[in-house]
Amino acid sequence: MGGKHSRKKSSIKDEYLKIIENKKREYYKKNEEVINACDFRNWKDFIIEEIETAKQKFPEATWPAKLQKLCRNWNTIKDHKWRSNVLWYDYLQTYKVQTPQSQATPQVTLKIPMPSNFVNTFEAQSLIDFLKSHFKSKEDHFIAAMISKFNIYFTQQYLDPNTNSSTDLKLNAEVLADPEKVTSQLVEEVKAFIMVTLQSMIHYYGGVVARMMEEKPGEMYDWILEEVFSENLHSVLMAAFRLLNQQAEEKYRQQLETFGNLSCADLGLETPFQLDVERGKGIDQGYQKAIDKLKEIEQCYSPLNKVNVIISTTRLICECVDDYWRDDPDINPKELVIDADQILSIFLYIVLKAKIYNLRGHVKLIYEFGRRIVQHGSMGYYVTTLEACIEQIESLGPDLLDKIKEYFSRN
Amino acid sequence: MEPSQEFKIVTLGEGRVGKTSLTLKAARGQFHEDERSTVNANFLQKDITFQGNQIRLHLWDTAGQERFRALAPNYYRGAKGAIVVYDITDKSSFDRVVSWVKELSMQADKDICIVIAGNKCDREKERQISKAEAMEYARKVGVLHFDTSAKTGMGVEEIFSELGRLVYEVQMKKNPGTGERGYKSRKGKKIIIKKEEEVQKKKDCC
Repeated sequence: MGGKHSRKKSSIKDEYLKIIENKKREYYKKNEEVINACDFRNWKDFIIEEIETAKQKFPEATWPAKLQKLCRNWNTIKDHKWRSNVLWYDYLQTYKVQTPQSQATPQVTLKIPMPSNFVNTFEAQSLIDFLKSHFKSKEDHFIAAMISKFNIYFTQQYLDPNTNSSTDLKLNAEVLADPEKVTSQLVEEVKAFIMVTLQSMIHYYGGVVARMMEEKPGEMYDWILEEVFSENLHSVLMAAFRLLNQQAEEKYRQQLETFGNLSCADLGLETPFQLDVERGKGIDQGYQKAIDKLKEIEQCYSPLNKVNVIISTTRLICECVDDYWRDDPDINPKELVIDADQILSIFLYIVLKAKIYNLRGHVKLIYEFGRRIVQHGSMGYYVTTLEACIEQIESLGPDLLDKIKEYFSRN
Repeated sequence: MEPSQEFKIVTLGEGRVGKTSLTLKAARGQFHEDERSTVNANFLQKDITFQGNQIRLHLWDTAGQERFRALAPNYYRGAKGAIVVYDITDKSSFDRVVSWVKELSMQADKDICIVIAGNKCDREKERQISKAEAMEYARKVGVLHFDTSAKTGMGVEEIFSELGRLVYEVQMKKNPGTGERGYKSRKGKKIIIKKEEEVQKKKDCC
């Protein structure tokens, strides 16, 4: 009896393994071109070559040589699990897509005992999400380690050795001597490192990641940008941008002090958007939610996260206006259309109240590293509006305020 | 259907000529009287189809008040198309068109496509600029002119479709390879992943 049962079990198992084997073969056949598109066995050599390109472009920079050394001494055994699992993940995703919703395979998180806190998150919704989980292991994932080390080496290269606080960074003598030239080099070096990282992803993971990079280049770029921009790197770049616009920044700070108390009406906001007017309503909130949101830009390090703060601020502006006029039957909905003049004026009010120092630096960071689509789409529109606000604040004065009054008395 | 091309379009013109209403009409159709929430009408998108290609226009509204005049270059930087709007019942707004066209020709992208909109055509009786004069000016500077009304919708679809077509043609001429898929590694390995249907099409041809 037992033998019959065991034989039956064994044949089911064999059949199952046969199906799996066929599926694997089918997957390989279908993706052969992609899988073999890159020779990723010698990934370290290719990455060293990639860094060499940056080294030749920036002969004075010290980080490329240090990263090459890191790469040469890296123990590749640690990386095997990350690299092989990408293929597994892609295979499972292909299978998942073909499975009807009603018969979906239950999602399982595999936890294999490993020396570090290694977790294979095969339930990730996309390959990028799957890869993101790899980057948490800076000790045994080469690219994550390379990014972490780049941040240290790059910061060392441009900071005064006596700097001991991240809030009061001192740039070294080289930057202070020629801020314009060095800042532009600083930006180019970071861009070069981002390129090295993107190329390294192909050499490290092979064709599956190369295909994804070809299909979703923007998403991939945004994610790598997020990984590369640490607090230290952000602080160095922001300090350099402030140095570059030192005079304009001083004037801007003075203007914030002088005109920080202007009302919505003073700044030319039309009546429906003057949320600082009582009108029998509670004005505790006004644009406060939007002001608080914009302040968060200082705590975001990656350019895309900064853009997201600006977009959220724009949404909150609408929410503040909605909250203010809610349950008011007298308001004509046609008056609640925010055109370009009004959004600029509202942002002007918000920026004056938020009192964010070096705002020009935040905008420059977005322009320098943001993608074209980020700059030309809705994100770009509101970043441009913020940039326009800075310029408007710099030129604020009695003449401009009189012009606003005159315009409103005429219309 | 995802757009194959996306272009930045900017609307310029004096305050109160109807720039926002025009883009709002083009992008969202009729304004809903019963809509109770605030509408952000400064950035809008409009999709058009040209020769089977889905094109997305990112419509950037610009401030028309004089105090914001110096900020306009920030907005038209990188734009591939511009609609310069005037109010046919206001002569001074047409004078402003002349200066906008001049400024765009000198400071915007070299390949920017410009069209002029004579707006508020539903108020024909109050017209201060003759159609002939406006057309003659447009002909002289080599741009297209449209009579539009954001209120009735007259000419709205036409002006956006025509501008989209112009921009598309100019950009395709400039970058004929745009839309080609491929990823080039710096190590000289070129990986071109073709869409399945493209491969199939090729097979069918043979």
